[in-house]
Amino acid sequence: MMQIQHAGLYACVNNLRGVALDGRLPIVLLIGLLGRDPELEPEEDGSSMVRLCRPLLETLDIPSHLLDGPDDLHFIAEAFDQAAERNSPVALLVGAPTS
Amino acid sequence: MTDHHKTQDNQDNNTRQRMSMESALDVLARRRDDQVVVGTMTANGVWREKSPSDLNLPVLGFMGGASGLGLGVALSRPDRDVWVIDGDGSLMMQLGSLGTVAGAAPKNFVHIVVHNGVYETSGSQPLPSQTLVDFAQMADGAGYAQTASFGDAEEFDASIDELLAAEGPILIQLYTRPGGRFYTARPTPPGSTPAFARMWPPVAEALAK
Repeated sequence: MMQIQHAGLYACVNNLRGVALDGRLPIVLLIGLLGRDPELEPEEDGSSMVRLCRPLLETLDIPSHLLDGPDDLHFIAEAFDQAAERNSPVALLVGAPTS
Repeated sequence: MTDHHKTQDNQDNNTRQRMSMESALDVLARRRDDQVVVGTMTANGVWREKSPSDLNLPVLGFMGGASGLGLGVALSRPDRDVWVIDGDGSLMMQLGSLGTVAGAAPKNFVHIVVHNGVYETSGSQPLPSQTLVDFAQMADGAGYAQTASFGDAEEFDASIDELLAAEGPILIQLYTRPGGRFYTARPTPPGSTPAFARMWPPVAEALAK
């Protein structure tokens, strides 16, 4: 698993593409959506850092799951399975403050 | 073959003397005149309190961009000194900018790196190279004109005037203690003007005076 902030995702797009995608590596990316308004869909957020995250992952053909609360925690195990099945990265987006 | 850097300064950063960020930035604030100061991450908030000015240009929303932004200002305004107050985690994100700065060789560029060894804003996770990385050595290797490191505020205070009088680019590495400044960002209302778009015009206006 790779733990990273959304800013880090934006900064490492080329490596993600060249290594994780082209190299077909099953990596789970745990990405923090710092500054997100949990009341809104990420795509409606006022911050470009939050708003563009899922569209970027979609462009890169990386599936993603939002972790907004305890009910979403099952996505963690599923993401590992999905990454292994696809031989590709899968992203988990921590969408709300955890403390 | 030379290994003088290693023998000279290969101290484990875990046991290194470190000062508080406040005391380190106090030293700089006392020398503040009309420099443009590009600040980033946790140092930004501390600096704003120590040295409020229209010529403070914060890096908001693009971690890692301080050195590149500061370089742009330095090249476009050679009549002004530019201080970049960078973070260790931030600089790691755009380490290649050391070469870009050295290549452009702006004489008016002072690159201050606050080295606390952690990603403080996101919860003080350690940098991957926390115990070893030395940005002064890296800047030396990149071709900066001057580099120096300090872990003691009094020593920094005694040396800074000579450093600031030298021609840049200069990198000053400040070993500081992490302060646990966890950053909880307030949500940005939809349709807001991005922070950087709000921050830049007042600086441009101040520079035009």
